[in-house]
Amino acid sequence: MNRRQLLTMIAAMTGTAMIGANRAFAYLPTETGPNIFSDDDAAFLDEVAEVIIPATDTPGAKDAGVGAFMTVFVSDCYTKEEQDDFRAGMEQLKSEAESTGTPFLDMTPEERLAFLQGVVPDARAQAKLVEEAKERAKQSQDQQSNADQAGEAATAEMAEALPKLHWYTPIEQLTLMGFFTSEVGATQVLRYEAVPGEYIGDLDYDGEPAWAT
Amino acid sequence: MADNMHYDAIVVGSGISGGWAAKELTEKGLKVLMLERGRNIEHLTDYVNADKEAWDYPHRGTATVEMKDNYPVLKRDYPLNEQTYGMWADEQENPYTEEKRFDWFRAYHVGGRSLLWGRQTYRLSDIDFEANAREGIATDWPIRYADIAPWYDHVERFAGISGKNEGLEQLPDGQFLPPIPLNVVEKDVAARLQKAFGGTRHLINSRCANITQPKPEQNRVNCQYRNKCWLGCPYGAYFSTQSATLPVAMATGNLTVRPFSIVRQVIYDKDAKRAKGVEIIDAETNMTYEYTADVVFLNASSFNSTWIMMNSATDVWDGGLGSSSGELGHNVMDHHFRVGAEGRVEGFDDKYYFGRRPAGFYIPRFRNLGGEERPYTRGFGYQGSASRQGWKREIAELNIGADMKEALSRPGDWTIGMTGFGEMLPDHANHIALDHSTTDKWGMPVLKISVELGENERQMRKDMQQDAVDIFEAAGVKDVRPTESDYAPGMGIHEMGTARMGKDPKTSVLNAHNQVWDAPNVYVTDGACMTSASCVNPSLTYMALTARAVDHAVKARKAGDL
Repeated sequence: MNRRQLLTMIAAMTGTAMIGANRAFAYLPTETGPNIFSDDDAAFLDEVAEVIIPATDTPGAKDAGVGAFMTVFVSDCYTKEEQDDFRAGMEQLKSEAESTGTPFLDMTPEERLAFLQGVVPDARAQAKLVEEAKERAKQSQDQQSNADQAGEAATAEMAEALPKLHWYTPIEQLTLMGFFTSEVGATQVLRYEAVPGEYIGDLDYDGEPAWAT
Repeated sequence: MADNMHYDAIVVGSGISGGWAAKELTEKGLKVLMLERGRNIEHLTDYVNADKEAWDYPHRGTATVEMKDNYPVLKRDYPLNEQTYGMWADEQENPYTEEKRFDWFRAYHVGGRSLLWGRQTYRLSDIDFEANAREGIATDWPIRYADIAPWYDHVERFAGISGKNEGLEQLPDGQFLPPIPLNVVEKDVAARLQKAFGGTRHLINSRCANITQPKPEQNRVNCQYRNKCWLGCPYGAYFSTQSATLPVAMATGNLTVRPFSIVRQVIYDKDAKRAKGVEIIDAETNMTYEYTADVVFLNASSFNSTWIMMNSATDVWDGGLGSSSGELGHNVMDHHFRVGAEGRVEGFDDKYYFGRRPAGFYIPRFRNLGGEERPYTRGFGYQGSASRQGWKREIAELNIGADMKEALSRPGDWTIGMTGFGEMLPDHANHIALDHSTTDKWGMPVLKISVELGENERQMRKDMQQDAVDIFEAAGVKDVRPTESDYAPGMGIHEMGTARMGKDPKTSVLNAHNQVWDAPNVYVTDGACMTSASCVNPSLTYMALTARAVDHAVKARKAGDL
């Protein structure tokens, strides 16, 4: 069955006996709120993201507008504290770059890569520490709630004590997410089929790009 | 509003069971009023996100801080996301009280959760229907498999259930469309499982309400493997009120739907010992109206059907209609889950797949069968799938730049994972009640919920994890890891009980035909009626019980018994 046949089969159903004519959106569009970043911030994040996912024979992070996406995501989906950490991370990136003798934006692509490569091991090690701390906090919370239900203050204290992620990690995560869920990333670097029409569970694989979802 | 105030039957609620009640009643010639507390949602035209892609959402699907502030309960799990935003009950207007944590995920609009459900559809067996009596737990179901089997046939044929007959006593066969295929890794694991456990554990195609062949008589097209069911299917490929039962009911010319209608109470005539109809609040105008009918079907969702009964006939019974047994509001059940295992599968790097399935595999219950006695009673099934990892995977070495980009643009290892869905025993202590100190937007007392897992469930969860590990290891899966994440009652979105069926009005709220003992022209056929939970997904059973109850109601009305 092809797409056209499909669509002709789907007759819209109207003419229902419905009391009350009020209509509302079923699925609500989510709006974007005020963006707390400047265009320069977005452009800077684009440059950082491009190091993580550069244009090669296929498009890269800048082509996908990853910098602008990051500013929207952090503005709307991060808590105030996470936003402050993210912004402090951008500043940290800049100052650590400068301490090598060259501001990040003045570095060549090779220098930018070497600089960020240099922080990856620290970021990974820090992420591991945070995970372990979270696990410990969870276990102690479990014990607490087993013992009594009034452990909330202690849990909040525990959350306070959690170490923070390295500044690189949120930037890296948002770059990957922003890129591979973008139209450019999903269709030109990965593969995407909007209406597969069938499921084949035993297909020979010969090195093609992965499915976007 | 120039509407008729008397109908042959009133159906309260428009979700899975309400839609079935309306379809069956109108097809049998009754004039029916369907009341829905939320707004209308038109099939197809209102599915405004159905053709959106990941990049069409400004936050790529992630809930914003504002959304989380608005939905403090929903944010506890996946239902709060950008794609389905607006499809869940407003938590500010509709608060409830958690004496103990209970995740209540509600959908207040025409179609209810039929637009948002997981679509897994399995039959209960006599092992389930006999369990309470055999073990002396709660009270006996008043029906057996033979009573409901023809109605399972009936609803499966209409709804369109894909699956495969397996000949298993604990999971009865049915009327299936071709199954959604297993992939090459799942088939391999299935074959190894058969060998490793001597044919006692089975990995099978999941059974689900996504059609794999067109149903032109219902204007429904077969599943297109987009896996976007929750956005409302533009092909009508999964069963919902809108795609299946509502159009048929409408086509009879016998159905009137009234959205924005919050049923405040069933109006009870104490002389006739019958319901006269219902009183509603118009959710938009706050005006109240009375509608009368010969028969009332309560299909407002487990807790809300009971909430309506608690608010009804309080001049006769303090606890409301159906409370004379002392069981109204009690015996809340859910399916406990989010415990299982995952691992990596080698040997299939030259294999991939095409399309996105809306379902994976199923491993039916295998515990406490054939005389086995574990340190707990009842059992659990597993739901899971195998797939190749995508861009979200960690790459240890190539972690930045062109090399990483290249690596992440190819499929990664095959992985397989599953989670158990366990039966929760009915326990009188697990209950809902009216909280008169808190009211909703319309001034009605809200529900307070007090439910927790018991020792039987805690013991079962040990097996749910260890058996998952053993199954994968026996099937040759590598790096098998047990998994467990936060579970609280309600999270299964399978809340059941609070108005159970039974054989005796002293210990149950409903009889064998889902009639309220104290008002035989009131039928309750949603999850409230469940006497025990089984471990299988419950919606198919609500459909079958509803169709069966309508058949009874129409015959009884004709015979003058209502």
